[in-house]
Amino acid sequence: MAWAAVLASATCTQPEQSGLLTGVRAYPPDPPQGAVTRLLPGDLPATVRKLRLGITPYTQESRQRRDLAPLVAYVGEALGIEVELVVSTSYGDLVTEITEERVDIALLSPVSYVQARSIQPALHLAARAISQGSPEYSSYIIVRRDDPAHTLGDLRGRRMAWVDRLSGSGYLYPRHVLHEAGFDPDHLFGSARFYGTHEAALVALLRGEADAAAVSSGALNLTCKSGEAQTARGFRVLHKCGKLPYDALAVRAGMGREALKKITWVFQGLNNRSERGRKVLADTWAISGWMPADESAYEGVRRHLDDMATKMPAALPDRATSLELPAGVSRGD
Amino acid sequence: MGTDGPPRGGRHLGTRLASVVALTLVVVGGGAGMVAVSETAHAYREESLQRAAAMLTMLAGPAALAVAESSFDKLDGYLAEAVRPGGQDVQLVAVATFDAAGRAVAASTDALVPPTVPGQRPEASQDFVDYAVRSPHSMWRRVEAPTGAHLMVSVPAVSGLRWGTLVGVFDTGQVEQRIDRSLRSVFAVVFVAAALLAAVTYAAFSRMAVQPMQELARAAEAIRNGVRGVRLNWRRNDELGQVAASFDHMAAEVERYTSGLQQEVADRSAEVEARNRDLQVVNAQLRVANAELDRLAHVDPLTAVGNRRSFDQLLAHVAGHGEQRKWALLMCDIDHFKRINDGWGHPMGDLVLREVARLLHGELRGNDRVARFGGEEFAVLLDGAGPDTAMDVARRLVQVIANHDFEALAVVPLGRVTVSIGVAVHPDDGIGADQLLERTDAALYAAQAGGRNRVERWLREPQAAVGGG
Repeated sequence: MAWAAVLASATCTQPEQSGLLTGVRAYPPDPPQGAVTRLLPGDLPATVRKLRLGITPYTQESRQRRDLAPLVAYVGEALGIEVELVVSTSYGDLVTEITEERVDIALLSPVSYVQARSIQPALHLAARAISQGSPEYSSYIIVRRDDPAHTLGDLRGRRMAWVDRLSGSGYLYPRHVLHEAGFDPDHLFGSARFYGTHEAALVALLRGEADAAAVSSGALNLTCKSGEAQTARGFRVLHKCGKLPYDALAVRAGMGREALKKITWVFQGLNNRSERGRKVLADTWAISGWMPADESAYEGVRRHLDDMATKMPAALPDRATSLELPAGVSRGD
Repeated sequence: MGTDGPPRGGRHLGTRLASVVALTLVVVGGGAGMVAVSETAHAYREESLQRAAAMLTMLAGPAALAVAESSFDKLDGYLAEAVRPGGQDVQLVAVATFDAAGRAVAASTDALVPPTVPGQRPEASQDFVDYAVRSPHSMWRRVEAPTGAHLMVSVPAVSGLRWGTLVGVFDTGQVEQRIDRSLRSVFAVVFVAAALLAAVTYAAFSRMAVQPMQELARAAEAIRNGVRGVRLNWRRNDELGQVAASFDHMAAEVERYTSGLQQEVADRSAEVEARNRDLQVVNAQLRVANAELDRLAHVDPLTAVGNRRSFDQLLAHVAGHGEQRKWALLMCDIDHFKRINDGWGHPMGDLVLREVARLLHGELRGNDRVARFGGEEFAVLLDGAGPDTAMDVARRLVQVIANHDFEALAVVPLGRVTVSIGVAVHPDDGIGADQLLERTDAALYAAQAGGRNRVERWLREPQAAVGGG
């Protein structure tokens, strides 16, 4: 009788058979695609014939244009308007261009975006990028794999490769980390140079022209993948300097609401999940797609910069000045 | 006397209460235990579900990146590694990653099919995968298979965008075993507790109620059996105490009443005995009186010989022996008695009568009887005598009386006192008492007629007297 009761209660303890797990975010639906994304005559002023898409340099301009051509073509087709790619000369350059409305859409690095926003609060944030599948990347200080340095202090008197004064992962964040660690970033190193791009800084490190470099994890991954096997084994992370969101897709202030909406749809609907998207994005610098964004995504960056501004005002110039490029690396063709 | 009567209820009562307590505890405890187990089972299963989801979520990040970058070889290795047995309660046995279009792009198994519960076909999981790939939510489903309890869980692979879905199959057999074990231990605890509490209750109740009641029953029986001084004398404040107090009171009352009755009975008995004794005295007196009465009834008061009535009875008795019986009847009459009475007075007559009776009585032997038959008549019965004997006796009697000096007893000159005797013999002279009486009478008459102071025997015809003297 006892086991009958056990069995009876075992059936009483039968659970529900299926269900949904709670505490899960609901993901926004995919944006509309197709004819609805085409700009209609009233969406833009009649005088506007094309949209200018501004981008920061990350490699030689000709290559960059070639790589991004499918993207430009796609955006133009989806919007139903000509899209012109504008490669800026520097991070700061792009900030000026978008705030002064010399470009309509800009793919801004997070620091650039925060800066642009502070200059032009009416700037629109249409999306944020996902690169190599991730919406965030890290800032690293890296050294060669067999370098004797293991701590930040070991870099004293050595040669540092920065990316750009306005680069979050390539300068500002690592500099802040050094400062917080008790070092004077301007006087710790024997020498320091700005190489303009992450790739250039990595190449300099690999070639031995520098002993340490500040780069983004994304750039590091890409270089290691696309480079030789030798390259992949060549680096080691010395110190992690924080996480940043990927680039912001900003639209200039004054863009009409309908046009802004459609631009948002087009970019947010473009990603590696579709065959078409994969083709379009294949040669971009590892862009996987764009996701919806709001200001909170870049809030962390803003706070970081405010913090740095109060502690290291000298670090933040209003505008970037000219860059020094390493030998063999040119910006233009 | 104490063998029948009400059954011993105390023990049964204790057992019954223990059974009720045990049953109540089993029901209540079992019910509570089942609720507890049900809650526990729910909690275990919920926890196992959360853990499975957490495990998949950990895989979901890299999976999302891999799908976003279309780099699946590392993911494959990841997934294969994840299903290695780790001895956990919730064990991942199969997992696969699907892209946004629902195609499997990496799996822990060689074939890129939906992860399946062991023993089932891949198609069985397809509908779950179809739901999971389309739903923005994480989903789960329990599967009971012959190979045991399993759980299918899906988690969206998100990295900025939802790149795909991870679906895993977990073996939750250990969890179900844990639930079974806890169920069994709950029941074991409940039964042990029920048994213990029942035993405790039985013991407590036995001590508190059953034993007192048995004592009460024994006391009642003792009273039934007539034992005196049975008192419980319990000092209890509860209902049993009240019963005991009433019992003691009633026992005292009963005894008091019984003593009263007994006393009355004793008094009455004493009374009766006294009366009895009186009665006995009276009876003795009565007997004496009866004897006297009897004697008086059969004895002539004057002469102290039997009276007519007694003689008649005697005669009837002897005659009743039958016609063959030999006996003789003598009728004696005092000659000229009237003269004595007239001459000397009745007192002198009485004296003479007495003397004659004495003399007659003195001459008789054994079974012979003499009775005063009339005023001056005496009858004599000679039982067993024949004619000769009868005549001899008669003659002697006449002689004795004739020769007796009666003047010695009287102051007056009485002269001679004589008798005449008539004799009849049975069965020679007649049959039956009446005939004999009649013929004796006749013979007496003949004797008187013949000159008195003589004996005459009956003859058929009147004849001259034979005797003379």
